[in-house]
This record gives sequence, structure tokens and C-alpha cells, in this order.
Amino acid sequence: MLRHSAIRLATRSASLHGTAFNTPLKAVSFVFRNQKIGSRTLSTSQPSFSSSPAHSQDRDLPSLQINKTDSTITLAIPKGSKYYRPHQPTTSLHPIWLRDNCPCPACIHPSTRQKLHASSQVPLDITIISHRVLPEGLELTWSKGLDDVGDWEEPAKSQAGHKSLYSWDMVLGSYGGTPTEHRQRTRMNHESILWDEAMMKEKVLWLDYDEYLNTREGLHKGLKHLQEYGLFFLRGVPTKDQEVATVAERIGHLRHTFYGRTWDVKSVPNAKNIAYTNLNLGLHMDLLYMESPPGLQLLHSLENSVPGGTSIFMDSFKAVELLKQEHPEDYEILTKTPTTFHYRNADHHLHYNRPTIALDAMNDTLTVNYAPPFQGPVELPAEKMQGFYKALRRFAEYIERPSLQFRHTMRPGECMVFANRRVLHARTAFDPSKGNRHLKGCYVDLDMFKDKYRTTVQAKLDGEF
Amino acid sequence: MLRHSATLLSSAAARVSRNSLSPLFRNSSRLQSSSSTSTVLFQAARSLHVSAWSPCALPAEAQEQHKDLPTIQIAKDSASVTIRPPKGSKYYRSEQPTTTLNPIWLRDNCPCPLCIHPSTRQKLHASSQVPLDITVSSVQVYPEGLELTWSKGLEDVGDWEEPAKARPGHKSLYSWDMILGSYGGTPSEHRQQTRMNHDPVLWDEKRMQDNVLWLDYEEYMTTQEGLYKGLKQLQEYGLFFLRGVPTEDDQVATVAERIGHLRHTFYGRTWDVKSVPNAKNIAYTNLNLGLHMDLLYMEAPPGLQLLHSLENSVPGGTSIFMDSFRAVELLKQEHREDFEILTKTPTTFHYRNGEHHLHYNRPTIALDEMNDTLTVNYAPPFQGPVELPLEQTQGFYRALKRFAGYIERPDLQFQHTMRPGECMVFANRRVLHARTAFDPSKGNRHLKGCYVDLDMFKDKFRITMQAKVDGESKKGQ
Repeated sequence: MLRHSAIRLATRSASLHGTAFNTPLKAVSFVFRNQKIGSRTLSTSQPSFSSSPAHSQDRDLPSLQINKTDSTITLAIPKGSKYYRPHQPTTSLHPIWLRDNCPCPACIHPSTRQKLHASSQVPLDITIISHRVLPEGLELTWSKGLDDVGDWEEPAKSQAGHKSLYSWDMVLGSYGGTPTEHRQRTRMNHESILWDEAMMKEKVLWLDYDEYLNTREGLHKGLKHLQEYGLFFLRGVPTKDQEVATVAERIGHLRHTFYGRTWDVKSVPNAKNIAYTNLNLGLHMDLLYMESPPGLQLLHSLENSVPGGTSIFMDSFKAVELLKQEHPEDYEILTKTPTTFHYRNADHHLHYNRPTIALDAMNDTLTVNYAPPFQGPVELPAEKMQGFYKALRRFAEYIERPSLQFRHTMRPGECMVFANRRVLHARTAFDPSKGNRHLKGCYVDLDMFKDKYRTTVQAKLDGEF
Repeated sequence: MLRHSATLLSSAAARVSRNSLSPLFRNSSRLQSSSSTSTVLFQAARSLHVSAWSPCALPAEAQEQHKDLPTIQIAKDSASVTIRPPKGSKYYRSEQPTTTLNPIWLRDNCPCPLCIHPSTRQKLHASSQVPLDITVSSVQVYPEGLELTWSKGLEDVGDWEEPAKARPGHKSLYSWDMILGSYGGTPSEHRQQTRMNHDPVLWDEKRMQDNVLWLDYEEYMTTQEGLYKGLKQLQEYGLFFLRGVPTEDDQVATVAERIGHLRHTFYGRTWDVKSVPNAKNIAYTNLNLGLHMDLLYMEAPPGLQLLHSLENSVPGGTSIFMDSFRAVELLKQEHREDFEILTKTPTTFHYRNGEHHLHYNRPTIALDEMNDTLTVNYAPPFQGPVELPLEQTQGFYRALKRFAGYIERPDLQFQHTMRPGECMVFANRRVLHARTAFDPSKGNRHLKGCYVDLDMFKDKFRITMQAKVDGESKKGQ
């Protein structure tokens, strides 16, 4: 799911000092409602170089340099400031970006928080005619107005002299550090913890249903565990038919597919999915033939009186890590080669090509796509076939390694919640003549999870629970 | 949405009527006319045994009878199987007279009931179980297809599985329609055959005025032909309109569900576009709303958007549409370097307020070569601060300005003021939408909206298209 940014939240809250800047992340964007607070202002003539703060109280304010040719701003952060980073003592920002992201109410609609101009309206040759370094932030005054301002808009937008005030938390905090720090701050991108059998046996989370459903702390525990390990379990979920929907809706809306809003995993004749049989079902992910396979899958055990039918889980991210370390050339092949997934019968025709290992550098995410039962014939030139099959075999070896798998036979009332784009799931064959096995399942989109995770983590940071 | 494959369906349909092969594999030959599904694999009275290690050598009289069957060549190292359809065959392509297939791929995709579960159509082994050094031990050429016998069994066969799978001698029969049809031509032909990938028709104001589809609600809801017209227009133009939709509150859901399930988001299962105080979305105001797409801050923005006019008694509030694919084409032709920048640079989209925090980086022009699709991502009100190194900033803003220059050109835009009972259906990842400001004190403006995922559309489009092709070829017999 989300990956590899160090968990910095704890250190950030520890480093808060000085009442002027002790604002929780959420409140930052509203700093500009009160625009002009500054009694101490440092104006520097334009274009010019850094001016040191005149007063000792301003020792923790940055000093500023504006490039004469392109108006790029460089901020040098004083060592005493909470924004100081030894590995990156200055932050550079582009004037077009700054104008484009002015946070004032004429630029960002106050209740919707949506921008009121397009990026294309910012003149490419805009410059800064004056600036002030204030305790609240950096104030810039612009040389030109926006282009193509409609007649329904504020005329002032097309005129020179607009003032923008950027909080230090924005320009030195969120946008001041490395991309990794930025993602962690702005998107709660926390590290996954790659697990094997031993680690999951030690760390597995069994959450009590009441705690999960009725307390924010319970929800937070589950979401955090999902984010880190990609899997957790609930116990004590009443074995009512639609209860899995209630579990899921604590996180977000259900993803309704042609399998239904919720669906039954039991052995049936003329099954339309291999899951609806008693056969062994190898480690895989669901719905990879869709443009956007669901991020979460939930399976709630309603009945289980058969021998067999054990659930198996595997952290595909661990397999990726091992493959990358031990067979980097096969790793490369799997990041670049389209694997085909499809679902074709008389009623449906879905098809999608995606790499087995999908690295999304733009969003700093890793996704794995592995589903042998739903794989279609791969669409590759003849010369690439051998290499692809060899790489896939190597990857599959890690997946099939028992020491990397976690096993559990679900009991009625238990519910598994797992990240469908990271944790592979499987079940052993069972004998339907010996009893009944019935799981109720549903899906939730990844966006729902991320949204809930971010807002819940933020609420906890803000001390709401 | 989907792009660039020449529309070969008409020629495929023409081929289909010459019914020379019976479909053995319910799945494989979707364009064949007969719907009988036979699992009898071997009709062959005439079989041609070809030795594995040499070019096909047939006795003279056999050659005469079988001049319409392909010839097979297996490379000495067994790394490829080359098939040559005869010139008279319906699979013959002058630009590509042979098809070469890899034996691992062939074994992996054996269509028999031991390898593909008959009712679920799902594979019963993993690709990783095919030995990398598997070879073809014998070949038979039948009218129905090519039969290969394998030198080795699969690996890691579980004790719950058929033991035969682990042993040599498995026979696989591949229909000609599969290996010479679907997998025999170019990748474009393949995609068109297997996924109904049809060319979009890029439009400007004039072309849309000439070609706009106004579909009657009754026809759309109650006839297969009506649904087909709408889906085809969506696929080609990315936009069509319905008239006569009863102005009842949830009617838009009914329109959408004709195509697929609704995409439920935090805006609701369906949602109301009207001017309200303390709006949580700029659409819920009376302000001008520039050309944009919805929900780009989500991992998978919905592919379709529907807006049904329930009331419109205000001046203004005109709807505007623009084909972003047309803007991409012009940008690529006239400012190639800016096109390149926009395909590579992440644009940031976000939705952040007290209750929600969604964020996604995606390029303005997203080319997905693996699926042969083009998607455009443009939504100024929902853009977040882009996360770029300083030196890329200027170039990005310049490229975006150029792109926006096309988007804002009136001669590329189609305008319509929605009347109650009308419903627009459009491709949210291709057609930009906007509305002019309106004066809410002069009356009411109320649209009801909902979303449907792209997968639902594609699924319905392919199935509906296939049904039409099957129906037409039945008629042709």
C-alpha cells in the first residue's frame, strides 16, 4: 500500500516549541484567515539579498534570498528553528508555484477549499515586488495579476499588487524538506512492516469487535495495523448475514461489483468463481482484471464445520524485497512486463494488463499484482516470454515458501480484514460433505481506507481521543 | 478512453459469416457465429502428423486435401512454434504471413478442462508451474486447431490435483481462432478482437454539433439497440444525451444502472448539484465552474458521470463540454515538447477539509501502453501544490498553459443549457465539463448526479457489442 517513509510524526510533535508555531497540522491552512498580524516586519528592497533579522526575537525566523533573474526564493532556516534540518539547511521555491498556491480566500474558496483560478492563469514571468518575513509566515507582493480573469471574477485578481501570506509550516514544514518527509507529513505515508510467518505470529492483531466498532481507539488500532502489516482480525463479530458490511462501513462505503454488494464464499455447483468451490485455492489477489481492484477485502466466517479450508496469508511486499535483493534482474523484468488478468464468460468481459510488481514513483507506492487463477495469456513479443516466465517462477518461489506464510483456520464470528493489493490470500481444499463452510465477503476501495486512516491518525495527533 | 485500433469489426464480421470452424472453446472465438459449445475436442478424421524437428513435410495427396490448413514449424531448440496459414485461409495476413508462439506460453494457456476450470473459466495451475525447458514432443494439425503433446508435466503439482498434470504426455488443442485469430495478428488487431478497443472520434464544436446523440429515454431503457447506440456514442465521442427522463429524484440512478452499479463516494450514492451555503464543493455554489474532471484525487476516478436536470429556471448555468483528447492531439502536433512534459510530470490533486483527506499525483496526459489507453487528468479547482524539483517548475507551468490554451478555445467546446428531463452521460476521464455562473435568486437550478466506474462501462460495452456482432452474423447465415 503506502511505503517507506520513516515514521516521523512522533518526532515532529516532540520538536514543537514556541507557542507561535505550535499549531497542529490541521489548523495550518487556516492561518491565513487572519491575514495581517505582523507588527514586526522586515522589508527588504527588491531585488536583493538576505537581510538578517534585526531583533533577537526574530532569531528563529528564516532569512531570505531572491534570485534577480527568475525571482526564485531561497530561505535559510536558522539553527534554532524547529524547521531546521541539517541535511537540508535551505529551501528553494519557485515564484509561479508560490503565486499558484496562494492560500488566501480570494484564491482558495473558504468553505470548499478549492482553487479559484487555474494554474494556467499564472503569468510565466511573474515576479515578487516586495516581501515581508513575519512570525506567521512569508508575505509576498506580486508584480502582475492573473491572466484570463473572467468578467464574473474579482477584478483585483487581474491586477498587480496581490499579497500572499504563506505559513512557515507550509513553506518550511510541508514543502521544506525532502519529498519523503513531505509525503509523510501531508499524506501520513508510513512505512510498511514486511512480515514473515514468525513476525506475524508475534504481531498478529486480534481486535475485539465492540472495541473496533464503538471506540475510535479501536478503529485506529485496526487501521494502523492494516497500514503497517496489511492484515488484522476481528473476533466476536455476530454471525449475521450482512454483518461484514457493518465491519467494512466503519472504514468506508462498500465497493459494489458484479459479485454483489456482499458475496457468499461457499461451495456451489456451476460456480462462476473458483472460490465458490471446495478446491484448493492458491495464494492470489482478487479482481485484478478491473481498472481499480479494491484495496481492502473482508471475509467474515459465518459457519465452519468442515475439515480443511484453512486460510493462508502472505506478504507480497516481503517477496518483492527478497526478489530485489537476490535476483534484481528478475525484479526488473517484473516491474516492466505487463501481466494479463481477465474474467471472461457469457455475462462479463473484463481485462487488464498490469505489471506483477507495480512501482508508482509519483505516489511513492508499491502494489503487487498476482492472481494465477485469473491470469490471461500474456501479450508479449516472443523474445520476452522466456525471461518473463523465469522471473515469475522466481517470484512465485518466495510466495510459496511456508516460512513466509501465516495460517489460520477461521472460526465462526471471526473476520479477516486485509489489503488486497499487498497481502495474498489462499485456502486449502475442504470436504463439503462433512459439514458447511460459509464466509461472507465484501470489498472497500483503497481511497476509503486512506481517507479514513489519514483523518483518524490526524484526530489522534490532535488529541481528539 | 480506449484508443487507436482501427475498427476491424466490420471486416471480422464479414469473415465470421464464412463459418468454417466450429467453436470448440466457448471462450476463445468470440466472433464466431455458431453458439453451440462443444467440448468434444477431436473430430479429426484427417490428421497430419508432423515430425517435431523438421519443417512440415506432407505426403502429396495429404497436401492436396489439406491445402487450407496451416503448416507448422518447430524450432530446433524448441523455443518457438511457427504457424503459417495458407493464402486461402481466413487467417492469412499479407503483412504478417506467419505467427510465432512460445511453447511455455502455449502450455500455460492450454484451454482444456484440466487446465481451465469449465464453469468458472479460471486457470487451474500457476504460470510458475510450467517447466522452463518444456518441449513439444509431437504435433497434430486438425481442421479445428493445433494439437501439441508435451514432453514434461507441470511442477509442484499438489496432492489434491490430478496426478496426470505432473506427467509428460498432456495434450493441448488450440483453436485456429485463438492462435491465428486473436494471437496471430498485430497487437492492435489483438486488442480490437479481444477487447473491442475502438477508435475514439476526436471532436470540436462543429463535429459535435453535427454528431451529437440525443437518445430517447424509453428507447435507451427498454431496447438493446437503444443501449447499444448510447454505449457506442460514449465509446466514440465520450458524450451523449437522453431526453424524456422523468424528473423524479432518483431517476439518474436508473439511467446509470442500465450500464452498471453506481460508484458510491463520500458525496453520496447520488448527489445534488444546487447552490447551497457553506458548500463543500465548488459545484454546489452559483459560481462559474471552469472545464474540469471530477474526483481526480481518488486512486480510480470514475469513468462515467451522469447529470440529470430536475429543474432549471435560472438564467445562466449553461453546460460546456470539451474533448480533452482533441486538445492532446493538437498539443502533440503543435508543441511536442510540452506534450512530453505533461506525460511525465506528476500533477497533484487533492481534497482536504476537516472530514476528508484525499490526495493523488498523476500526469496531466497519462499514456498507458500496457492497456493501450489514453487518459487526461485536468481539474484546476482540485489541483494541489505540485511536488516538483525547482528546475522543472517553469517547464511544467508553460506546458500546462499551452494545454489549457486549447481547452479554453470556444471552437473546440460544445455548449448546451440543460432542460428538465434531459440527462447527460459522459466519460469523466476524457470529456471536460463546465458550467457558467447563474443567479440563484432568479429561480432554481437542480441537477442530480452519479458516477459509474469505467470497468462497468467497458464490461457492458464489450458484452453488448459482442451480442450485436453475434446477432448480425446469425442473420447473415
